[in-house]
Amino acid sequence: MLVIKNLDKIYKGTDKGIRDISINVEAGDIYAFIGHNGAGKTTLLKSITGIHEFDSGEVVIDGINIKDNPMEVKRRIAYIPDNPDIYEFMTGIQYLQFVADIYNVSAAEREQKITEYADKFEITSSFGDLISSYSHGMKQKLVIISALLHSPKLLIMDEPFVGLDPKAAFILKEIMREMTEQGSAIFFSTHVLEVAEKLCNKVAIIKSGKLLASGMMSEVVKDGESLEELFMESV
Amino acid sequence: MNIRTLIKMELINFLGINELRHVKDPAVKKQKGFLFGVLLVLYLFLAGYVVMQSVLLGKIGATKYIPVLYFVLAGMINLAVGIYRAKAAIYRESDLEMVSALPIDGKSIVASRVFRMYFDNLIVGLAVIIPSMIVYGIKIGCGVLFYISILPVCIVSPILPTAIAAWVGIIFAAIIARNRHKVLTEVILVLVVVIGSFAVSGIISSKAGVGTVSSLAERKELNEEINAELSRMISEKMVSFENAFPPVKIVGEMLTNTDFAELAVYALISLAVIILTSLIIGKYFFSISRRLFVTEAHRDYSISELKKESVMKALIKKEASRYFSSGIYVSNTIVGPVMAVVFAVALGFVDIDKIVKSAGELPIDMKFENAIPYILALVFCVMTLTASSVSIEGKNWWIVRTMPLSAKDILGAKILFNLIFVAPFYALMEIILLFTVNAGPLERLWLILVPGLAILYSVLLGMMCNLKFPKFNWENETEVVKQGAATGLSMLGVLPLILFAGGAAVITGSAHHLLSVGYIVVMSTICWVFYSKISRFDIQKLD
Repeated sequence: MLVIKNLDKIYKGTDKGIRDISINVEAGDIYAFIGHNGAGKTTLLKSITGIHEFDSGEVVIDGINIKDNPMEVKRRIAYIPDNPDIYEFMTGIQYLQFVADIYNVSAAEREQKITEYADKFEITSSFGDLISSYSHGMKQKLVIISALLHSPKLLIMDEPFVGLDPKAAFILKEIMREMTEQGSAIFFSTHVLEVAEKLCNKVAIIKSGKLLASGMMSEVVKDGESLEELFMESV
Repeated sequence: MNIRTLIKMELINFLGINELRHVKDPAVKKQKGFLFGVLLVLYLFLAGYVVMQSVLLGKIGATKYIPVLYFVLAGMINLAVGIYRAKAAIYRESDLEMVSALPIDGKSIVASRVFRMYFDNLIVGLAVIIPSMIVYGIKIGCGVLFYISILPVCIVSPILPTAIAAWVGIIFAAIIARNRHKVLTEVILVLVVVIGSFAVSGIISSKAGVGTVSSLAERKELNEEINAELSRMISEKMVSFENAFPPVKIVGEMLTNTDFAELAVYALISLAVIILTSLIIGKYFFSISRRLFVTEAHRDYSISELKKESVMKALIKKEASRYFSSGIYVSNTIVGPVMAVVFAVALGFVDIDKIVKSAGELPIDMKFENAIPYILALVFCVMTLTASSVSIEGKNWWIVRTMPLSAKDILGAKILFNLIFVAPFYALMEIILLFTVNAGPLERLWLILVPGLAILYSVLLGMMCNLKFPKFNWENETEVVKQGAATGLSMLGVLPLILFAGGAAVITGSAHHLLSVGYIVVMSTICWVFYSKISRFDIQKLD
């Protein structure tokens, strides 16, 4: 679903960025991407979603090279950033309608999905209010709902559990499992290592822009060791 | 101690210097350096222009009025700019939470922000007062004490205008805070101030009228008789101005007599006013801020039937929501179209040629009536939405970047919205012109085509400038809407219109129609080139 080959992205005038990253995410994977602050997690995620231009390497999503056909790639993915900076001048429902229109989601489908996810996250009643009146967690929930409207094949998330209450975090995990059971893939960065260990079947660890380890959770994390212990040893 | 720290924070990124120092990307550093250089050149041009005008005033025998004229001019510039910026400068949503949580009182916060306003005014004042005073000093043969007094005069001059502007800021903020429809209230207040300023300056000009005298001197051959006549006219106007506004006389005497005692008294009074202003505004700072930036929440929505719309309609609706949610954005960009409509109405009551000729005989035969289409075009194009429509995306830019949208979709929606927004004003202006301007068929055609093409030109130019100089990491909308490099550059782009206006006024007879045809050809070509570039723009470059 997502093939990253030898990806390089260095910020001009610095030596900061990511070097020679290669990762393979298949349909059905819940793939965690972990690393210390400033390791390059967000840089990688923004490079594969088309926000940053990368210097060299290849990103292929669902068989399409992002440089050859970025529009087609973007139709298949959804991105949830670490900070839910969304249009505060819109109401919640206006924002969801906007996203649904851009992704060409039918009226019936959007109504069904918005109702379903809004009820799960218990924020339906807030949809008529301006997003500027939302708390961080409410904005995060709204962004998550907006990302799911067009049934993306690949969901890319940057620290999605930050700001979510325990119930919302539980619901998000459920949604992630359902998506992957239906053939989608999820690639996300997180600092919550317990969640990564329980939820994910694959993991990659990055340090100072370079990949330290990647692959099946059972192979990367040895028996008798926790992901946290491995992380502390590595970084 | 708090105030010093706060002032340091206010000034740390003055003119983007801190960013220029610390940014690592060489391309961004070069761009910021270029913009800084442009600002410096414009600043030197302003000083040079003041020198030129002062020398000219000296030549026509009006030397003794130079100090007071430029002192007052600097004050008026400070006041106009200060009033325009005051509310946004003092009341900022972006750091309200942070300052509310810190052990700092409202008075310190306001004092630091009012100081920032003063500092900005000081910089402008230096370019106006120093050159004019030096020219005066040389002409009169002043002693060292006069030159020593120049700096204190510069330091003192912006204080009162800053205080007055700060008062306007708090009044605006207090009125807006009490109203439910905050954006609409802000727009109405700004329009009242702008239109009111034009009206007041018109009244003052008719009473004091130090208008085109110096430019007349440029056009006519300078000889003793004309100089004496011009000097007498200026003296008469200045006397009536001083009688209307006695403080002007006091300031004039203080400057020309190099009276440090009077200067000290003036400084103390100004300081007392600005300190009192800061204390009063500071007392109500948090209460007004909270009411300004509060958002109502009802939490009573239930999902009803949802409709699907096209991608372009969704994007245009988004642009409209963005635009109308920002008082600063609306108030800055609505002035041009509103003034164009007001001007169209005014044409029914005034005869432009008569007004210009009443200032004095002109060396060549000019018909200002021919320039009306270009003047209307100029007024419309002063500030376009597109000059900041990309930058104003700010931290939301990631949204459209991750969506399946082409550059043509994203930028096209912004251009379309700008055109849709000005269309009613343009249509209203044209309908009014049918009644207020007598025009033949060709003249009527130019009245329609000239402003229409200018609008398209300015919208596309604004977009080009914003794509060249985008700014996404802003904290306050003022940074991109009022102070952005793209906004400034797009305003300079109306200069060709000024040339056409001048040409139209000068060229009479049927040749003036040829000029209009030339204008249409040139502008259409430029618009086509701009549009082609925008359609093919690689949006990946905007990181």
